[in-house]
Amino acid sequence: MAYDLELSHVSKVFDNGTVAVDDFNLQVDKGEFIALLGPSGCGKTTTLRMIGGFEDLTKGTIAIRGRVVNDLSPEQRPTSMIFQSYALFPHMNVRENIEYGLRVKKVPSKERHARADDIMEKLDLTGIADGAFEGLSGGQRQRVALARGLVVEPDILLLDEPLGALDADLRKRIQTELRYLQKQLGITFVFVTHAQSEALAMADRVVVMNNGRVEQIAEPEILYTRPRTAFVARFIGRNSIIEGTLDSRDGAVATVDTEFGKLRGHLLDDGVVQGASVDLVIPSEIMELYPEASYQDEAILKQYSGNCLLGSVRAETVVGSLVVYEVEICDTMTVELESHVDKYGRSYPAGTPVCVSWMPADGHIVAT
Amino acid sequence: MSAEGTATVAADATGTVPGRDAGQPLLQVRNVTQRYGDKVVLRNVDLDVFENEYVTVLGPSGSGKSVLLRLIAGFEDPTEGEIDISGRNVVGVPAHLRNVGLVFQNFALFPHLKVGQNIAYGLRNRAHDRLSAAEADVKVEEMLHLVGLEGLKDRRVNQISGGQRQRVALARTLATDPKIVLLDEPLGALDANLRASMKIELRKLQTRLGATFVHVTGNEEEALAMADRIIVLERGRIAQFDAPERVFARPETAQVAFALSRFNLVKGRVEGGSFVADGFSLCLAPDHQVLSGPATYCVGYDRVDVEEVDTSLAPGDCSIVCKHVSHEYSGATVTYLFELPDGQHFEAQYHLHHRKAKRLEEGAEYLLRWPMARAFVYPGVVE
Repeated sequence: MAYDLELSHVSKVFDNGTVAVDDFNLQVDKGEFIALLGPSGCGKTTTLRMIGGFEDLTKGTIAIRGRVVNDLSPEQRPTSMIFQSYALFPHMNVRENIEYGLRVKKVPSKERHARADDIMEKLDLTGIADGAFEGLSGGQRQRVALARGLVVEPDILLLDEPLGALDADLRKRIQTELRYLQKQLGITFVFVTHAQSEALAMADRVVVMNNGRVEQIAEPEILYTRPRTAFVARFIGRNSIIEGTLDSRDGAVATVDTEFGKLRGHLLDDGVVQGASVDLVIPSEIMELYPEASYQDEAILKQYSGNCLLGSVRAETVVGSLVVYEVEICDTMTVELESHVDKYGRSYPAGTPVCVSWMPADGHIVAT
Repeated sequence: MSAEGTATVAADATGTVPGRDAGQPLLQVRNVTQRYGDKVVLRNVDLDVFENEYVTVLGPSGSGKSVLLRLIAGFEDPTEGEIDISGRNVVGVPAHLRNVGLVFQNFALFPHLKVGQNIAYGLRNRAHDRLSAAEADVKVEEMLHLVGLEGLKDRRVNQISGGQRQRVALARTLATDPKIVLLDEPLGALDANLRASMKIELRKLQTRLGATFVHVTGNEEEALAMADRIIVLERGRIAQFDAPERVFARPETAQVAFALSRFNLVKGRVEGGSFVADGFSLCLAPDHQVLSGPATYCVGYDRVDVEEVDTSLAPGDCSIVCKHVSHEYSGATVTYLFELPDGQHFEAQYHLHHRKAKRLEEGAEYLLRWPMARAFVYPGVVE
């Protein structure tokens, strides 16, 4: 069976010689939610625009459900694009905005109304069908924009920073709504964002891009726990990263020389040799806190193969059921550890000397 | 929610401070009502704030939180009621004579002035105790040091970052030694990363200064993380005023639970001692069974366990079998999204430092369970 969307060796070189996208390959199954994530200028928006037909390809092919669409105009493609600004018409009411695309396609008015009714029902917009654009909240505008994109029944919905225009306090709620909606509709979504939290939360798979190249394509969990490059480890954030050089390896576990002594982690890449510069990446949820005295405890040291960073809790912040510890290590590094209040109780208040430990198999070593 | 339900709650929800029995409150708002024409934006608001307290005011837009701040600051006077600062009624006293400092979301700095000039502005231009240039200079240096901006005195405010501008705004306010510092969405204009670090800094600064902060926000994470006590405003009324851990452990109204964004809120009704909705029912602790009629069932995302359908329940567990839709990953947590039999949404949040992530199949049914004692029910239905 053909993929819903397939990009093969897609490249884009602008007239001025800038390589915006370099050999991009991706296969998307029907109903997948894909995020293109990266800093500004990484090529993510250009890629989305090429899928939508708003930008020509320099090399490669884009196929939708097995059909190459390189030469099709945006209107001819089975895609809809939602822009960050939503591009709604302020002089039209909600229904008119939603029916606009069907009107352009000369769909008869009876069918037009029926299809608009159907999508408004799904998006909980029926009650404001006749509402003027002016009176809509940020969240409602976003749903109207989605309805307008979906009413033409695209195979693939393309979204350019869809939450970018929303108030930060609303974003989390809308994000969850969008996730529910996408699963309910079963339509393939490809969305562009520079916010890692959005990409991790919503996408089935995330494509991390940097300087026009794909750094890693993976499920959110994998990106976080097994970043393939130093760029991904840093961009995904929330990990503690300790720089060092590779000291030795024993199968999949390796030892890194760092300013905090020899520390151990998991090393997948066979190409990394002794003496190479590496990052030891420690995701915050695998770190454990112990009282400083446990540094003398053979059993604990053995359990963690000597992985213990001595430090002092600088701040303990409780947010609902979550507690965030900021631990200062040797005055040079701060690690952040998020836990559940039920786990440690209140045994590590600010000022407590602690040992931060992790299992070697859970730390992750990447070449830099 | 029904108006009756809210009123009953508001009456007994004004904060009592555990262990703070003695001492005069620094700020007292007494029975304040504010109307604009027919519109009531604050209704019978009563609150006490003590010295050195950090109080956050949480509410959605339109809840009256900014109006409350403006009344305390003296930009407007209340239609009814009294506001006391240090035991003196300040209604009618102009803003600049109240010894209250204000920090705005947009910072409101003078773009044509340098950082140091912005900080000195209030000291050099106030009606009383006006400082000489030399005296103001000493104070400016002290403030720059306090907010960690040493060396930036001669920069223009358009040459510094958003986070630095926020600190200048803070320094300018603190320079006048206000008794109470009022902050209106002070972190709202900052991006997520900066917001997180400024949150901790702001709180440390308040502790170091020993000043009293009243901080208005629409962001529940900020409200929970920073406050000694939180005021949750609901359409012009105080719905709850208490320590964050107590508000979180037991939201007083469904609207409070909604404002905290950490609770499942299921719409239905209480009938014959159980909670029922279209096609399913949920169990209730005995003290909740007295209600009847439209109701909202509430349980925290992080209190819900996801199990295989044939898992047997422990005594005191509530449960429901429903369809898994998808999940959201945040690094520290995974939130599993479910659909109840009538299409309402239900979430279970696993904190990965505390519970192991589950591999669930989208579209499959699972048994969700939670301790009965952790579930609440409120009269009325939240829209």
